[in-house]
Amino acid sequence: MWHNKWFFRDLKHIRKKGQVVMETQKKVLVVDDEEVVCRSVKRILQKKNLEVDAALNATEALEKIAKEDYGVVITDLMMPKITGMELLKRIRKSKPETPVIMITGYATVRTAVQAIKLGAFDYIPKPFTPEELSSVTVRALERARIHREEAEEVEEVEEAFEKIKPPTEPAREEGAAVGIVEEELIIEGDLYCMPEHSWARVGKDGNVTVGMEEMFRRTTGDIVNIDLPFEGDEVHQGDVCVRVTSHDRHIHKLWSPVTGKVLKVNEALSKDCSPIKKDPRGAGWLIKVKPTNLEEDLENLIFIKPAIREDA
Amino acid sequence: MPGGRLLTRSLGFRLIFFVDCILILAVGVFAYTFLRTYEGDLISEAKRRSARLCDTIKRGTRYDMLEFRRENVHRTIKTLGQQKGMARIRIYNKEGGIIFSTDENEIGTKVDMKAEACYICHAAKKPLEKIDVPSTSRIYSAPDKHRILGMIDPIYNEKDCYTAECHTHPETQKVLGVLDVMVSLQDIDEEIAYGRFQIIMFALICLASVFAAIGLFIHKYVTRPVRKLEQGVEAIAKGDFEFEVDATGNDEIGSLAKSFNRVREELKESYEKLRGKIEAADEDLKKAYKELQTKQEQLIQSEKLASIGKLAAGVAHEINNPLTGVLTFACLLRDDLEKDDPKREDAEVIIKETQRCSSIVRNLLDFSRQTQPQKMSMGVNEIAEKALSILEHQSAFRNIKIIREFDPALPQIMVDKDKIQQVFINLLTNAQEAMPEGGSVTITTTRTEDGKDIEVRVADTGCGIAESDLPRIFDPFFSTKEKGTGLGLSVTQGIIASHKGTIEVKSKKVAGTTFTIRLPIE
Repeated sequence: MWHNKWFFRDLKHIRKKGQVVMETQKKVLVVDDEEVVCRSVKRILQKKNLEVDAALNATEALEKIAKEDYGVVITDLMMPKITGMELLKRIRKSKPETPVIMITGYATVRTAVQAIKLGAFDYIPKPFTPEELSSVTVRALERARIHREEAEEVEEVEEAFEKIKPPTEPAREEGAAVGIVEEELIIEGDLYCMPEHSWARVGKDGNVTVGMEEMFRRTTGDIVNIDLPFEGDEVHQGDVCVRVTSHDRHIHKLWSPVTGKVLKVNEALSKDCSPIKKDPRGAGWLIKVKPTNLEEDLENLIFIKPAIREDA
Repeated sequence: MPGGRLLTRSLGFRLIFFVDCILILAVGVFAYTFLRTYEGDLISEAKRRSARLCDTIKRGTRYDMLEFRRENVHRTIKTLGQQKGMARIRIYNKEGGIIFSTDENEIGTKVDMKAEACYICHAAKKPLEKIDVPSTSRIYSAPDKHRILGMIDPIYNEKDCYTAECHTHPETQKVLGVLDVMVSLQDIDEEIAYGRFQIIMFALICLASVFAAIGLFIHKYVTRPVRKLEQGVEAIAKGDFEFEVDATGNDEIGSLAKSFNRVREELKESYEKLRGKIEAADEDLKKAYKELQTKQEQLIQSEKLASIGKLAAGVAHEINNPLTGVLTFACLLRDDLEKDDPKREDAEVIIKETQRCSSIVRNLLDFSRQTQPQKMSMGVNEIAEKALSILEHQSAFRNIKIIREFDPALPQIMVDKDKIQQVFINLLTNAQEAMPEGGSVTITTTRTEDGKDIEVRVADTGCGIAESDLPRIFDPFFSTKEKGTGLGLSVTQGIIASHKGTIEVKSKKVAGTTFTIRLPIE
């Protein structure tokens, strides 16, 4: 499993530096060649009791990252010399446990989605409101906390493997018993995802079921409200398709993995959000979309091998 | 004659001339021969008659001569000389003296031996004593133009003569004198002239009727059909292929006419084919030209858009940074203020306006990127309805009557619903802004006559667009409104172009503006 390997590698890393993580958990590094953006980020996050460091270019940022561990790195995508994309790659290499949030003024959704494919935690289009920035940052910090938690809890590699195995696997095997409404639709077909964000399953009829990845849900905390689109609406890859309100009243945006027309929404979720938690890749599906640009969309997503076949 | 042809060059004339030449020759030879024979016969007859007359005179005067009764001889000869057609009767003596004559004045005169009457016998030194009848005659023209036949008959010395009582003539004398009878040939001449006249008349009538017959024949069977053919050829030369030539004749010209008609049909067919091809090629050329023109316009427009897009993208990127600052600090300010602080409202205005800036920038970016439309099968009426549902209830549209003239039978077409909706919103908003005092907007959807496109018309009764502004209204950043970005119609045109459609505008100052959009069905 891609996830398992990814976690596994991170865990080993985190365990070595276990003693420092507690101090860095609230520290944020913001990288932008525009001072006003750095200042904005600083002011917004300081209000949330976070310590914020700023760097005006990628070189400076890399120096700071080498010296210190940050809970989250927020970086502009378009910067002179070393771009945000390049910085992301380097951080993924040196500090894979650090979530990286991309800010983009040039709202090229495609670049942003590609950044997520490369391991960025999320992205925020400029100009952003304090709410938009803080909700994403909170989620990123939560993601980092999950890393540490899992690293600390798991003493043995074998145990860690068991623990972080996504609960979707057994759930899917018991799919029928749990009472999935559109069982065949959900289970069949190739699965693609925007890592730790949203997933898309291409059905045999060519339509795509979209849902929330487990890690997204875990970073938001308990969901108290979910705002789904209407049938007939259009969604675009990298644009908001679903807004969720978490128990701490933050509104989180879920980017759609594909572009198309909404054919169906999982109405059951408006009454009870629990299937998202219990069975995120099954009964917790969000919308069913008739895709219009699937081939290109899939290039920006990661293909996940069907777990059942792998297990068999 | 068509084409100003000379008479002598016409076929009919040549034929008539040729035939008449032969005819004239034939009739001429015939008439000549016939007249000669006829004349010869008549003269022979006259000679015979004259010879008989001579004999009659000799016999009638024999006894008077013997008895030397001169008076009787005179009387007899005179009486005979009074016969019709008798010119003169003479008797010469041996020496050429005229002893008797019907013309009494001559009696006693002497004729020259060389005179035409004497010459026959006296050509030689010694006169002939016996001559044949034919050679004794001579023909000469009298002073009154009539020909005269003269006949010489010698009076031989017979036994009775030298034994007679008078004994005038010795026995040795062979010829006593000569009887000369001259008969007028007037009758014969007249008869010959009449015959000649008849023959010439006959020849003329013959020639005239042959001329007429050939002329009629040539006219009916040659000239007329040939002229028809000629007219047909001329008609073809002028491009008229409808000229049918009468081809009922079964002769060479008839078959030529048939061939002509066949060739004409073939020519007509190939001409029509050719014309069809030329027309098609012409049509293609026009179409290609129009396409080229459209392409050129599109190219110019897209060039404009591309350069403006680059500029816009750069501007948008740069402007987003200060906007982030403004938005952040305005939010922070607001959050710091007490809930009932009147300054809070001011901060809200800053936030709202900053977000508006942000959406303008976003539009600019969307515009500059000119993303490929994400098409799905949709009905244009539905999209229009959706755009109307968004706008209709806005306060700005309160005074505006919206008239829907939707064709319910329109097929669905592949469109980017959001973008087409944007087009409707842009056009309707423009219409509303042109009618601040109210008015009506008519939205018409139809299928074009050729069935290839869907036509959407948005017509308002607003203030219209100045003619000088019309060519520029689709240009980016061109605006006549104080608050306009100048992107609405430019974006609209970009969207329509990305759907391979067209947008046109017609406007009259005061009367209103009509935008016509055409979207291809396939």
